[in-house]
Amino acid sequence: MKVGRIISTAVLGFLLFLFVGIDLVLFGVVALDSIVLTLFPLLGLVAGTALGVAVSKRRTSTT
Amino acid sequence: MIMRLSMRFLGAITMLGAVALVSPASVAHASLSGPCEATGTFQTGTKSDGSFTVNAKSLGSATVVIPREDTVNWTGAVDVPAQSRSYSGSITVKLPPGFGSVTIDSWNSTSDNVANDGVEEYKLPSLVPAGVTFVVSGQHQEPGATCAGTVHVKIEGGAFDSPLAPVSLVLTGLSGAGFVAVIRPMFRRIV
Repeated sequence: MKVGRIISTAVLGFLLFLFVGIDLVLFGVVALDSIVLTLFPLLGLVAGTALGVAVSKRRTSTT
Repeated sequence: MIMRLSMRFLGAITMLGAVALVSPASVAHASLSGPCEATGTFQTGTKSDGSFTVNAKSLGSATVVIPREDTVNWTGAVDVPAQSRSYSGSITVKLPPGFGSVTIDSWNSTSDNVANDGVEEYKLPSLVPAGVTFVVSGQHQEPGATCAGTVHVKIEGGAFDSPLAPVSLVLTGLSGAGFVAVIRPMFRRIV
């Protein structure tokens, strides 16, 4: 497993979901005090980490 | 600094101008509890409805849509004996759970006034996003009176009235592209 790839996927997942949450607020879909803004970045972090592990395993198995 | 000032203005307006200006008289809150009263008349008002008056006591849970700039005639009063007494209070904007809130104004002094009024001009910078629901809470305390309330406020207009929206969209696109790039190997066929 490549730790660097897992970390980069997790960070990008965090940022992607964070900005999606901010977009939802700026476009009036959710209020500023919505829990979406708290949960989305955490979800992105978890999803990014999981996908990073999956990608890393897949790469290891193909090399 | 600009953001802090704008939030301060926003709070002052949403609390119908009766914030620190109303010597102990009161702070006005929509969904207001306690012996406080407050009204605010937006002279120009919104493009759709024109001039309008907000009464904090009767507003309930309705969202107040305010123009980006206007002049507000405000009044505030608290139902207590007119004698010298100390008072304090604050106004905060609620942030997402886990981030608490931002105090945009607070006051703490003594006075014998029980009512006040005035005229307040405001102009919110374009950085403050339009169409976003801000939950503003306030509380005011003095001997014999505790008032608290919450109001939902939106600035009239759309997301692209603020430069924040396009910036956020670009950052979303960039982080999305990066994310897709790093997970791309998952979608390659194993030969």
